Amino acid sequence: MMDDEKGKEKILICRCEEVSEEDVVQAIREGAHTVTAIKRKTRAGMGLCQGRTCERQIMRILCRELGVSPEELETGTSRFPVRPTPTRLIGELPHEPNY
Amino acid sequence: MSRIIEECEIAIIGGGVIGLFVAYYLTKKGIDTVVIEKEDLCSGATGANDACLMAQSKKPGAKLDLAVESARQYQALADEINYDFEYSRKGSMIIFESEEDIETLRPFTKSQADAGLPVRFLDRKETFEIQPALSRHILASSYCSLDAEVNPFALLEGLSLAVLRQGGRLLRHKEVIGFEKDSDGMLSEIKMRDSALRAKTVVIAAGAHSRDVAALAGVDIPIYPRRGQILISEAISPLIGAYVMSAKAIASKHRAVSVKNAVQQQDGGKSKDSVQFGLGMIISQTVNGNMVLGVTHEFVGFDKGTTLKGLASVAKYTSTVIPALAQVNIIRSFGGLRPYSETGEYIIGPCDEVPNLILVTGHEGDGVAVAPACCLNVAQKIACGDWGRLFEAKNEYRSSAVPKRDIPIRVAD
Repeated sequence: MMDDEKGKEKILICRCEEVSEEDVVQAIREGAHTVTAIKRKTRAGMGLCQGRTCERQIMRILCRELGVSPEELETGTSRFPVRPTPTRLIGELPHEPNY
Repeated sequence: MSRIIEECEIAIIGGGVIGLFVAYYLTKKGIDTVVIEKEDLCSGATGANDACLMAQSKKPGAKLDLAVESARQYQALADEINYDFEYSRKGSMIIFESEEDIETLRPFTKSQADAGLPVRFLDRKETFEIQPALSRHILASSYCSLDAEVNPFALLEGLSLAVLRQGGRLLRHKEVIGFEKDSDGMLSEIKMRDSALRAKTVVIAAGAHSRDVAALAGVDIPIYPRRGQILISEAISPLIGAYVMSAKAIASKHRAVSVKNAVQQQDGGKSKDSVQFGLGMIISQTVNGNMVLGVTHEFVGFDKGTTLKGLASVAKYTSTVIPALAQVNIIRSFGGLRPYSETGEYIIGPCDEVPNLILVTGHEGDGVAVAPACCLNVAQKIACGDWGRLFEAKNEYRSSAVPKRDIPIRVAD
């Protein structure tokens, strides 16, 4: 939890990008009905953990707000790398030297 | 079975930066406009690029003029649409890594400066003053203070809200599957899976998919998907003083590539990889602090996935240019498909074969950078109905000038 300007408690959903439940709900009400659409609108899931912590919370909020079951929702897109990896290690993979 | 649900003046196929800017300027004039997007807005090249607005990579002529005019429009746009899309004018730098680079690019820099671009050659000392993080092997650079970055997702969000406010309509998750023509050969109806739309004029702004959509109307255009792979890092404090491109990449950008030859070399596997991964290099940093490292140039059909080899090449080259990057954590990667135009020119204007079909595509990696000026021009021409000369420039960008070619749509799998 963190306090907003008025001192009211806010529930943090995405800790990496500091996105609150209120922000997520507002994005849904403005038409973002997928994990990806919410990410684009609020940055939830764009941080260091890439949604590994918050994605399930966001799906739960989506279910609650839209009245759907989790099976009906698309998950976010998983991409390389699975966890934060230094550029140096990626550059040590086989690559094109003349690139 | 199709069922008429709506009618409009102008239907735009494609909800990327080009389609939305055309819609923005049309609805601003009060013209009844509908945007049709097969996925969500910003799902194609607009949502998968380096977010840089580069004038410095453009040759003097229409493309440079469009980029400069667009830069001017971007500066006023946030106020105009009342939406902050993280426009950040940091300037751009092209680095010269060899004497050969200097020799090749210096006349290019001068021609841009002569054309009025605020660009200048920097010696080694001046280069490191602006960009202390650069590797010491860099000899010199050219610097353009005009160039900037935007957040493409925020830009499209802001534009789409403006289009709706101005009375436009957005149809998301609607794929165009065909067209009906009337007896004069004009498009009369756009068919989607469960609905149809009647429009007086149809604009195709479908990026890398423009060729497929145009084919549904019986028109062939030489647009190929060219993939660019990009790495995104964790957010860090400001590392660069201007975003970085390499002279090698700029030189390669201006060499026209025959898609057939490029694909054959890719498939043949000999000189292959350097052709496959092309020469592109961009290092930028978002307002949020994430480093954006790119980019490959590959012809692999419509596969927008990433490859370890492509990403490794990007990681290696960019951390050679800025050694500190080696320590920075990468958190994400993605690939995007640019609408590569084989003629090297944008394909903009009405078709001779189908007069009420207008093409706005072929921007390859330039879409976000030239969209405002390009699309304002297109919207004005649509509004007055007289195409005449499209841009006040030497180059003519007319689809009718494009020769028909016998090249398969899918160039590789």
